[in-house]
Amino acid sequence: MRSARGLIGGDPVEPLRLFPLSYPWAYAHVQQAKRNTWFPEEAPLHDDVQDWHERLTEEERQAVEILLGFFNPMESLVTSNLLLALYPHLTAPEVRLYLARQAWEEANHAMAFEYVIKTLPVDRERVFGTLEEHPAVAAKAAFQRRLTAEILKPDLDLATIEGRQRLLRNLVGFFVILEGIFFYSGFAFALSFRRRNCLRGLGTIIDWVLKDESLHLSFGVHLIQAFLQENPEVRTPALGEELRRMILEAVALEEAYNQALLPRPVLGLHAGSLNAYVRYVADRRLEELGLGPHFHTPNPFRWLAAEIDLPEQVNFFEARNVNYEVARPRE
Amino acid sequence: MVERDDNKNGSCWQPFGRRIARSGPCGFTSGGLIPFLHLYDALIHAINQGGRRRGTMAAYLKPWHLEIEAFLDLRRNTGDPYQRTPSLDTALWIPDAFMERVEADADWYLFDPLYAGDLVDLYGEAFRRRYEEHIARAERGEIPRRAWRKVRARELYLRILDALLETGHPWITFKDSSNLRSMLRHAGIIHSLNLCTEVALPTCPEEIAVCNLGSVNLARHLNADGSLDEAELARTVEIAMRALDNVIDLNLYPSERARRSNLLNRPVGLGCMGFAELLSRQGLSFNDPEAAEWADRLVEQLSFHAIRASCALARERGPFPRFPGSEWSKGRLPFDTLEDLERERRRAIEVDRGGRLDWTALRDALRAGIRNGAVMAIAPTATIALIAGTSPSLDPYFSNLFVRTTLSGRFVEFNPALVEALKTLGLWERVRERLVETQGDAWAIPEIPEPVRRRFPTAFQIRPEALLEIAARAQKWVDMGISRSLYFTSETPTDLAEVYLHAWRKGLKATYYCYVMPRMRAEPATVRVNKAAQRPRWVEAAEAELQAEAACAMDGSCEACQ
Repeated sequence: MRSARGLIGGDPVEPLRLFPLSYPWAYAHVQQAKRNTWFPEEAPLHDDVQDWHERLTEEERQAVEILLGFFNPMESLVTSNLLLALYPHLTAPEVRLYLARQAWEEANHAMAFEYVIKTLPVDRERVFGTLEEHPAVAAKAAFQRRLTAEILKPDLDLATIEGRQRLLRNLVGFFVILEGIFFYSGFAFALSFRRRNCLRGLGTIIDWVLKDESLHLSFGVHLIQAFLQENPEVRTPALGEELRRMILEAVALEEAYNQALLPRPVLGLHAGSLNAYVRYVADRRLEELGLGPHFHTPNPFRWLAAEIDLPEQVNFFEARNVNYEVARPRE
Repeated sequence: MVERDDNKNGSCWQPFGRRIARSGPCGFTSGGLIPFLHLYDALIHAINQGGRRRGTMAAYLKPWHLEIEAFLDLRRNTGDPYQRTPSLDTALWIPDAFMERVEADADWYLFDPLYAGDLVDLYGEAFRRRYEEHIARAERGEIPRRAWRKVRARELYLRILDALLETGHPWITFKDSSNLRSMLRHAGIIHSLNLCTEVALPTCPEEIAVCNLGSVNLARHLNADGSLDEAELARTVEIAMRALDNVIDLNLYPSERARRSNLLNRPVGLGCMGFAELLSRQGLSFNDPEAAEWADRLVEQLSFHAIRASCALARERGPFPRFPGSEWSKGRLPFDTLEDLERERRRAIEVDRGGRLDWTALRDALRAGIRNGAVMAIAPTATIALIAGTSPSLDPYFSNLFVRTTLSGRFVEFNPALVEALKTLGLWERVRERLVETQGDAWAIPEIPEPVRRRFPTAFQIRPEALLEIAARAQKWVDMGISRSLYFTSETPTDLAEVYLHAWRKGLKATYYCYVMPRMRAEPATVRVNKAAQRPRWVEAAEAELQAEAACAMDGSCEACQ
């Protein structure tokens, strides 16, 4: 019999009883998430519209449309997975608190991309139909949906090792692959425009989404490790091999997607360089799971240092400073 | 070098919900200040500056305005979007009376300008007297109950700092020191500063203030041995003053009111940049007491030569039309006005008074005339310093490695003196990546020897008091203002409260941006963080908040734990 304060196995409809905490890291993630609160309308898209008309080539516009058409529904898959697949089974109260918060953030991301889609003069019908129109996008969605469906099958039994391994596959599939790999080539692609001082409003939204996703990823890695600690028996060599295969499959899906995104190169970027970046990121994820790198590919996008890594000093009257956090309550 | 200064001054707008009882038989209600500010916010997007910069505007409000709380919310990211101004910058124009009441934990009264509008044109002792009369009138029931309110000054002060921490606005500027230390007091009231809080000039319905700005690159005025090349600095200032004075006549004015004001006052604002670079090259950090000494000495030189050059221009071209009656015409110098501020504030201004140059001789020259009604203002110089390849204004390097975001894009900047020092030590190649990883924080890299790394704090590692000391020592010599940004790692308004009080006590005219270090960052894209050595600041902070004993179970072993 599992302890009622474990990650899983508690009464799924028990009212929240937070303290004493069993997983302070989970609560810390909730606290930070609150501070990161943002809303799409804070990012002005005025200049982006002008860029769309005056600076983007037809190929770039199409690629941006695919990007938006991917992100918008993809965020909703995460929400579904959190609420339908994870929330019923992960019963630790502070973990659930974060899942609920994350579900809101994913919804906020979906709305943010909708906000961009409805502001930029994109072909909206085409963007909202991206999933149907592009097999490479649909394949990524199908990969994620399969993972959610696995948990929803009536034969799931978390009392068995097989059941708990299935849950672990879901955690890795969503927190590590979707949040940590599938989104990243899209981020790099979107930020490549800002590198040219173009689509800066979209760049701001990507900054915020990326910050959120970094937190989700961090939470996911903490969660996976805590889960493995509580359930050491699920950690079989076979499962390790399976997770590795999953990640490599995801990389292949991502490479097909990159090809659909950029059938021909645009200024400063081509599908090959995006692929190399995906491999670089995938190696990181493999290492985080203790599986060892596979590709040994160097990061092709050194310029991301300026877009993501370095602290930013903003001239307020030239650009919106987006670095403020929601203040903590006064003592 | 030319900047339009037509900031909106909001205190005369009708406050929200006030019934204009005397204005007509219908007794209609004014929509108040906020909808008008929203209108200006929209205007910013319609107008740009010759395609080079976005349109900009700052709204200044006095903290006795009945709508102050709504004003503080203007930049928040939640609430009715029509009550928000995401693009309009906001600033507070704070009288001494407010800061005094904050110190004394006294009450503060808010008024509908319809009943206390005369406060707009008063400052110093006259303001204090009239403000107290309005309080007495309010308490006697002579002002309608909905046209005033009483709050605790300290409570409002903390609410201001709350907004500052969360939104970076409103900027804190000081009305009384700006007016009492103006050399153009005879020419009218200064109703606000400009967007960057360094231009302090009078305005009225007939006159829009304009200022022509120029900045000397201090780092280019060093001798080979690192000492200041005073003769070269004097020469540069002389040329700059002549050029700035020429601009006044050659400029194209958008309105007659701007032209009129500029030709009557002939104001110019000579400032500087490269101070941080200069300090780094001296082997000094902003935290060293010598930094303030250098600021004092450098700005004294700038001020001395600027005034001297303007006097020489007056002999050649005549003094500015409003010279008679100005503080200049009395043989007074900018630092003399500290006495005026002390008298009206009834307390000493906490700033060192010493000077090194022969100011007495200059007083005699002054009485014969000066060409420019205003001479110095130290602007932020963010863009021109970037072009000149040096550090901006009197500001520190934001970090030793960082990105500056401007309208033209994102630019990587670094502290060149640190790079040179590291190259000399043969460390540069080894720690370059580490510098990306630590976001330019040299203190976090133990491989750099302590005596070297201590010289290179990030802006957030400089004590705010040190930055204020530098600003106060410089402000002593400057007749207009100084843009003084502050940097905080603290997240509570109570920690900021003392810093802004300190700024006021030191006689500063203004502060500018309040940068707050974000607690969390996105996962770095190009570097792998030393996972074993570091735990994320926000996990630590949240856990400290929790006062939980248990630590992060993963002891920082995850990639996103940076």
